[in-house]
Amino acid sequence: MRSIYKQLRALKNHPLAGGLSNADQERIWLETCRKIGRSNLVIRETTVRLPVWSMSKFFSTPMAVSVASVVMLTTGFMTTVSASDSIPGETFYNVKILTERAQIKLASLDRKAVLHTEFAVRRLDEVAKLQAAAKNEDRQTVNQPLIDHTLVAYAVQVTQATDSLRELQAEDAESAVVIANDLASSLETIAPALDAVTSQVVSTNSTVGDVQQTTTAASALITDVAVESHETADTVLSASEIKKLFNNQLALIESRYSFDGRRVETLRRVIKELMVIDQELVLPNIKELDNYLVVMKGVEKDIVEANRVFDLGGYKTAFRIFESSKRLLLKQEIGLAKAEELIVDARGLIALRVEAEKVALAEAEAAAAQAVEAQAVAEAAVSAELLETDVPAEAQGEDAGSAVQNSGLDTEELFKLE
Amino acid sequence: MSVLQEKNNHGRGLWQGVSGSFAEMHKNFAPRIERYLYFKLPRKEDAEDLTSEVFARAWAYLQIQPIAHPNAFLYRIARNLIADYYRDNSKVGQATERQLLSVPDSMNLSKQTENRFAVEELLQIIKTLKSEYQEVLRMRFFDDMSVAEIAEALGKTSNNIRVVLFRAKNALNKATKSFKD
Repeated sequence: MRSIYKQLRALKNHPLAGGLSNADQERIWLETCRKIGRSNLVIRETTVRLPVWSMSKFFSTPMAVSVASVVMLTTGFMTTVSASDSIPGETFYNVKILTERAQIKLASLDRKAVLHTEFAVRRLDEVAKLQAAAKNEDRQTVNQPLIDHTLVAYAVQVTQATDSLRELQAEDAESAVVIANDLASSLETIAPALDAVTSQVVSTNSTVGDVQQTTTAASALITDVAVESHETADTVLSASEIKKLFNNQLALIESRYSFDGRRVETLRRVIKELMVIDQELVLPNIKELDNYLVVMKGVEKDIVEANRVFDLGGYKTAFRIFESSKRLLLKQEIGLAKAEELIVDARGLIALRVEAEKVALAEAEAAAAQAVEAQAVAEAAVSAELLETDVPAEAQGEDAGSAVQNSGLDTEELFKLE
Repeated sequence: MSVLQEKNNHGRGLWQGVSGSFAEMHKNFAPRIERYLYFKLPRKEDAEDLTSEVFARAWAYLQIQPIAHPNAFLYRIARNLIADYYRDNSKVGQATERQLLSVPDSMNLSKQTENRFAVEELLQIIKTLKSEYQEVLRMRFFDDMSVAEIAEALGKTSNNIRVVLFRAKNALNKATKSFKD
């Protein structure tokens, strides 16, 4: 009978017994992430650990918080100040993470969300420093795994900020609206830094995409929480905060819209100029740029619609419209950036050609001057040769004497001169 | 208390706000939840789809409050989803019966396990048992679950599970003997 049990146990991974292969399990996991609407990378956070963070489990224990507090109190701020500028991979970085965790543990719920956002900014700053360090030291390769992990740490902080906001929403809706507003502003300021950092990341995995997706999802979630909290609280403060949030988003989209409009116009002008110079150049398609203008018209209409809906009290719909406009603008901005790259390349090509022409011209001039000089030398040589062969020596002496006479100099003077 | 519970029993609450632990929970529980669904549903694809749904619902729940007993909780969601599945008659109409006997030779584990029964034979034998017995046997032998864990998952007492398991083993014994004959 025991052999039957053994056989049953041996079947546990068999497909016919419902066993899952690693690929099946991964597929189910990704599908779960999709249903949750969260980045796979963020949810997996604890499975991605760096050697320098190997003590991260310890950091999250109450004991670690006590240790951090004692360190902060007894060693003064010297250690923490030294640690604050450290970057991943450095000795003091652990102290920095430890201090942050201690701060989070000791913070109130509303402060937690803000702190997580601050730490997210720090992580981005660290990525920028890692990239700059690699450039300064003129390394051929940057420490990509370290950068990737720091980016993941950023995404985790952003996610934890929204999680804290959700918790706050359940406890105090009015405060949640205020904090949501703060977080939304912070995320908007993070966006350029994130773009700058991620544009330099040459990552073969999907880290950058996941990180950007997390930030976008966090932004949408923050507005959702703000609206829901306002609908629950419905106070004067929450109403004013939601209006402020809406106005901030509106101002942001409008500024992006007008900036993109200027970019399109500039690109069109430059393309036309370059086409006059050389029609063979690889340039962005003007028709595509015209399409961008059509998209922008759509965004313009969306802005008007969002305003109308917001005034009617459809806050969530208004923010949804903004999200969709942001996505459209982002897609368009990616296209514009590519077009600008083409322009830069074309200009570079033209500059190279001009430089080459200049060099060729200078070389031609030098060659011509040399030719003239050579000709002069040759002529002089020829005339000298003619003189030597055609005139006898006596005649040369007479000639010389007559020349002296012609010049009006006395023989004595001539001697003096000689 | 399961290993996972013990691991996460410090701090404010179990699993709450700990994103990484959700991944760990998925890794540990997804295979057994999928297997549970696999034997309850006619198609493997449906089992996989509902497994991800179970965890998506668990995640949504975790956003509101912690889960003290993830094992029992996940099985409860799975049972509810099975009920929903069969309530939807159209799905059942489309479903095709799994062909347990059409096993390719390469899948035959009888040689690997050095046993007298082929995979399909064993599964066929189990299939002849009462569904309650099948369930506890699968949990016990395929998923290596303890009596306490099975009891938690099925919402019964440990004593009850011990009795059911004893009867299930006896039934399996009889079934194998009659299969040989």
